[in-house]
Amino acid sequence: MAVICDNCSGKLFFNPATQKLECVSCGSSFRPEDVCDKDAELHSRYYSTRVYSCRHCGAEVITSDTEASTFCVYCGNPAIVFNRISREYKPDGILPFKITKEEAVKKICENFLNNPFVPSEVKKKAVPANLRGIYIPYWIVNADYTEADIISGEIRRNKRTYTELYSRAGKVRFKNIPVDGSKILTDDLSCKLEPYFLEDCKVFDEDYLNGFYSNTSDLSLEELKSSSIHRCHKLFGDEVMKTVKAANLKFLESRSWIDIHDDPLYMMLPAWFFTFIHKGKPYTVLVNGQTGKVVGTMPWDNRRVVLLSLCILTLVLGLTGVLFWCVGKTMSVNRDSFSPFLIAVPLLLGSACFAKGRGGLSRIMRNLKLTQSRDIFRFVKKRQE
Amino acid sequence: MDQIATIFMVFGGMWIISGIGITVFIMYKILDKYINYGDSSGDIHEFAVGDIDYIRYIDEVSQHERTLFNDNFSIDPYEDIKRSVPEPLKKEHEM
Repeated sequence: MAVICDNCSGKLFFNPATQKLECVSCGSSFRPEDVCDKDAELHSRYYSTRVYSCRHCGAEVITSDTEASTFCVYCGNPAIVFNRISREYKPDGILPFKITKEEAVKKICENFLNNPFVPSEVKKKAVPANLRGIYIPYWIVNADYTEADIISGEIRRNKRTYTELYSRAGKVRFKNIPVDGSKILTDDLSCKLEPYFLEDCKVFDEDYLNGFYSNTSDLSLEELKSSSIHRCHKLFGDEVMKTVKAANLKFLESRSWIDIHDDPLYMMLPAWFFTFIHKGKPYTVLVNGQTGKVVGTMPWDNRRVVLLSLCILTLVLGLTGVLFWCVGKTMSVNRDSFSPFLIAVPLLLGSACFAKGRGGLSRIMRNLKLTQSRDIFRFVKKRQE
Repeated sequence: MDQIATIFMVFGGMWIISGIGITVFIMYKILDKYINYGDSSGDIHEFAVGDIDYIRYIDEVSQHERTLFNDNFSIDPYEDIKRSVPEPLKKEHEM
């Protein structure tokens, strides 16, 4: 439904800063709930949208009648074509944007400014024209959840390392878990956008969509169950791991079941998508449209990272070299001062730092792959199979 | 003399290993701060009503207990519960 101004018949757009619909022609502003829908009865369960398809990644982008899409919000590709006018099922509620486009750009730029690793050509792309506001469909789920796990972990006993098995099973009731209802976004990426504070939710009114894109839920009940289990397993698993006093914990076996209670809420939650292409690879950085939290992993300038690594390595080797030289020299003069402790401490420290650093770097690389939309597309395909 | 060379070789090896380990850790911390944004997800207490109600809590699991695990946890405890399906979650053939 195109919403027009009562005063001049101009198009109305939702402004997050004022939380009102504003006319681009005469500047009048209206509260969304005051703009009357003349076909309220007809529109009570459905609303009209324009659906665009991206020829590059296959994503569908939905806009209100007043907005035209110029590029894909998921992969940044301009190969986007109008597909159809669609009537979509009305969500139960909507969390209106609170962060304006300019504020979202500012949030992203806060991370760029004085950041020596982000390439300068990427910094130049953080402009309002490259940001699109999109309402992501979410299901707010109440559920009973049961999980049973066998966990393996390593313990030290009598100076030897043993692998032990631990068994944990339990049930828990979850309330108001947000589960991403769109296949194009991976659950791992969308859950990083949280928290969303649902107290600010409004009853759904399509007027809030004006000036923004939206996506609709494309999950079946089974797919919602699968996404909910994935989300609950992460929460349950992290908690269970805390009860096991061992190192290098791994799930050997894990079984989980869920009972989603009746009437999960279908909601639209806001996010800003900053999409750009760098060295032929697409990147998507997200900004929570309510809190301004920035989510994503930026490309880095390889030359600067390698240079910094070499500088740090030289500095660390220099400092530890002086230390080892002194200890080694003392021991070569006075052999009685040799202690296995002197060997064990730096070795353990170095190994622990290496293990922690390697794990952290792998996590950053995984996040980088999530940020690159082609991987998102592959995830989507995987989930669709 | 050989012993002195051995001591210096051992310390040289440790020096390189710890140096690389510490450098990798520092680089991870730097990249995590400057490149990786918003890498956090929720805690169970944000969404759970109460704590986990454990029905099995065993340390040092034996092979027999592992077999029991497979027997005890093979059936969906919620399979008999029937729920209504919201309209947007219905596939076309269900509508």
